[in-house]
Amino acid sequence: MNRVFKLVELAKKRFGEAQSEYYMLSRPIGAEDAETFIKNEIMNTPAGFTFVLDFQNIKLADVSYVDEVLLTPIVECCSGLFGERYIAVANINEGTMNNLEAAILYRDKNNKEFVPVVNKSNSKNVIIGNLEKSLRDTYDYLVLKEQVTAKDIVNHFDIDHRNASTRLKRLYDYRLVKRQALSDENGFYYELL
Amino acid sequence: MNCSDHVLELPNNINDWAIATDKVCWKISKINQGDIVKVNLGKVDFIKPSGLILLSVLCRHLYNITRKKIIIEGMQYEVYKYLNKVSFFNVCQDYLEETEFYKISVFSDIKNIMSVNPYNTIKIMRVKPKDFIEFTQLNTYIGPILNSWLPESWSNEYKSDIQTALAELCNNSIEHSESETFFTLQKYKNEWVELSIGDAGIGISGHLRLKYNWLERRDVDFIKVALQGKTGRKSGRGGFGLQTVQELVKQYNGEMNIHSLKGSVKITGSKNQSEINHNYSFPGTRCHVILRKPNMFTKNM
Repeated sequence: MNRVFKLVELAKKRFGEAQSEYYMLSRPIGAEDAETFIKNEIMNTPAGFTFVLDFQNIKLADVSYVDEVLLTPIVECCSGLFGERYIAVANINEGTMNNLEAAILYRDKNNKEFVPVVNKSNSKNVIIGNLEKSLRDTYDYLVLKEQVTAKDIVNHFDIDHRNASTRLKRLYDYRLVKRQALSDENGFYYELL
Repeated sequence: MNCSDHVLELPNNINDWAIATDKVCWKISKINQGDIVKVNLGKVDFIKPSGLILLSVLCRHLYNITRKKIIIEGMQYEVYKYLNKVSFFNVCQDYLEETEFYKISVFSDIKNIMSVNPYNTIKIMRVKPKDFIEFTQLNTYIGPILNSWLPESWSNEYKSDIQTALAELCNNSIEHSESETFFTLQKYKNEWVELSIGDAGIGISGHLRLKYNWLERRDVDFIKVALQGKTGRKSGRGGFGLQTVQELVKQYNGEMNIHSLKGSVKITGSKNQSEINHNYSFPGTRCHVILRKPNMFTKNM
């Protein structure tokens, strides 16, 4: 279940309705948008939902802007600041995608903070960021199945239960997947955002 | 107060900051408030974006010192034509002495600054400190200009990367320099695009010293540290801009030249980095980038 926020609405408020193209540039603008609008919108998203930041009709967002408006809230989301809410993106064009990948890379390299992002495009969930192979394989399996438990991972990958639980928990810690308690036994099931 | 007249004769290689600024700086130290300054371009045969930015920043800095408008003199016709084409006299009119020579040919309509230029260059742009909104708005004019220079569909990523490099460099200057930012772009021979950005502000070391008290370090060391991602922001966030531009320079087999106060660093392609410690300090920071049009078979990934 998603709540979509179109970034172009924020751009129109800032720059006017009449422009043919909208750019979102600079760290201070990104920080202001994150503090003044984005975080409020995330908190207004019902618990259990995914807040989807939609970049449609944004001609270009630079590295510094996406770092502030997207990666910083995701880090805060992972720390529990927004409760059981999740963040994803959609409709990012090629130029902005390159900048988002660069922001993820530099945050990891400079700040030792790896912040992968779920991209919901064309009805598929794709991870942006260099996820390690075991987690990527696990995620790809979840994409296939839509919902898995640790037991499913054990059986599919022929690994022990502890390893399977760790993989799923790490995906959850990155907030790349949702997690719900199983009703009839201990443990969780995991599903896509 | 006794006021003096000064004639600042710019060297022929105004486009090469490493050489040009040292030849000029020692003369600037003798200029005081109230003095009349004439900037003589008699030896300058041609100006490129880098020279244009240096000239703009120099005039701004001289005006800051003297509080009197600067006189440009001795221009060769081709130089005058170029400066006119890029609206230098109009954009910098606040601190250039108006002469009959300018009045004949200058664009007086401010809106013309924003019109798409049929040539391979854009008009020089000037942005006030911290005015991120104005810079963002200017991109709505730069986008169509890049489309006219590079209409091929394969070039969309290249154009986005040019605008990303421009945005990261300009926003660094707009945010940190505490001075006006000047920038321009030019396409060359359908083979590459040059971006030039400059200010007369506090410089990279001035910004980094807000957080890192490295009194012993040279300006060139501060530039190198900034290229590695260090920032003077209190939040500690960011520092990605110069890293992004370096990566684009590598990707597009280009060059980057950063000059800040007494230091210069030049990066060529993916490896070569050279540095210069200048004899004199020139205020602020200037950055010049070349991004070559990718050959579909040899783009560096």
